[in-house]
Amino acid sequence: MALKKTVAIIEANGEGIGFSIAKNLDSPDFRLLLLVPGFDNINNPYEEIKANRPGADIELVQCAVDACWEADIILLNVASPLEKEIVKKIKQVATGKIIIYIINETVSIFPNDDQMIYAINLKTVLPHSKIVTVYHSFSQNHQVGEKKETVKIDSENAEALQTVNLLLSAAGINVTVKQEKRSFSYE
Amino acid sequence: MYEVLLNNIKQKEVELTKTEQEKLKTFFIPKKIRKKQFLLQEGDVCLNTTFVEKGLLRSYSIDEKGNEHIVQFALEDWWIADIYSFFTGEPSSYSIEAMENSELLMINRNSYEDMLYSIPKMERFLRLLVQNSLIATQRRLSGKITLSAEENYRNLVAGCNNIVQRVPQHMIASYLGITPETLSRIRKQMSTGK
Repeated sequence: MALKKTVAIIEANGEGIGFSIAKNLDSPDFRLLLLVPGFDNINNPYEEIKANRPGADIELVQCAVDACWEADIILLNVASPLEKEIVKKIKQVATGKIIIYIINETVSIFPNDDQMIYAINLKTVLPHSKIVTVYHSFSQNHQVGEKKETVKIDSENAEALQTVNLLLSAAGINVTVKQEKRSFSYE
Repeated sequence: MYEVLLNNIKQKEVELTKTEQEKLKTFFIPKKIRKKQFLLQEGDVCLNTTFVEKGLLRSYSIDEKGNEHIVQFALEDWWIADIYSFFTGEPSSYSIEAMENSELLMINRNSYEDMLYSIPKMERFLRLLVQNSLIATQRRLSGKITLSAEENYRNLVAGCNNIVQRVPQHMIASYLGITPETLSRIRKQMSTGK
């Protein structure tokens, strides 16, 4: 029996992948720590999660650093201005861990330039973490009139890529894995 | 977060420069674990060797009757792993569980080799560590073969009173390989000054 992996979701609100995992994850292999800003509000996403998954191993946390310290996998789901601050804070507890960084491609066909630049920069800020980039996009099919969600993941670390694939799949998210071959890869 | 480890290295008279200290930190995974959570489960490969910055853990095996046998305790400043599994990649015959909320520094096999390669001073540190560990293991073995249960308990109290204070009696008994009743009798005898 494999050990449960702890996933810190920073932050688990809104409609993003973080919240989607929190709400739909169906696997005994993962334990979730959710940072939900202002979670004592009436609009508490945690209530929705609890209703959806009554027996889940899931917990609300107040401190990003403590959650990441405890985690094996860190999912960064924060608005860009906050990112730099949070990354600075969690840097010292992120060594050797998997960092999931989400790029939302909803707005345009091409990923947001700032996000792309930051994804590249993240590797220099956290050189000792295993960074997995998640490209999240919606495309509109006008004939059928429905939105199609696409999630692609990419990392230099094959093992991290596999773990994140398992996590996302267990939350019912269809994933395309594209591991780019890089000359400086350690794999 | 690394103070206890750096101090442990210093105590073994291995002087790391500031640069080497910073480099050292890049090889360890900092991990918080809560009481009763597992670090390793029997049958899994032990991927990391773990240093305890804060807290208390135990490793144990389970016999065919379902009884637990405690192999080792690890508190602050100690290392814990299934060494055999760590170096061979074979499944572990032990489980490692946190007995208190703990703060750990874990190093995997690749990082371990990289660390020794890039900070050669750590070779000396590791040699001393293995040397001490071998002495402790040899003593524990010969104690088990030649000494009485009472002598083994007295040695534990003299050497690691910290453990005796923090660990429940039935686990001390399991570590010594005696029943809780025997341990209770020994303690009673010792307190009445016999």
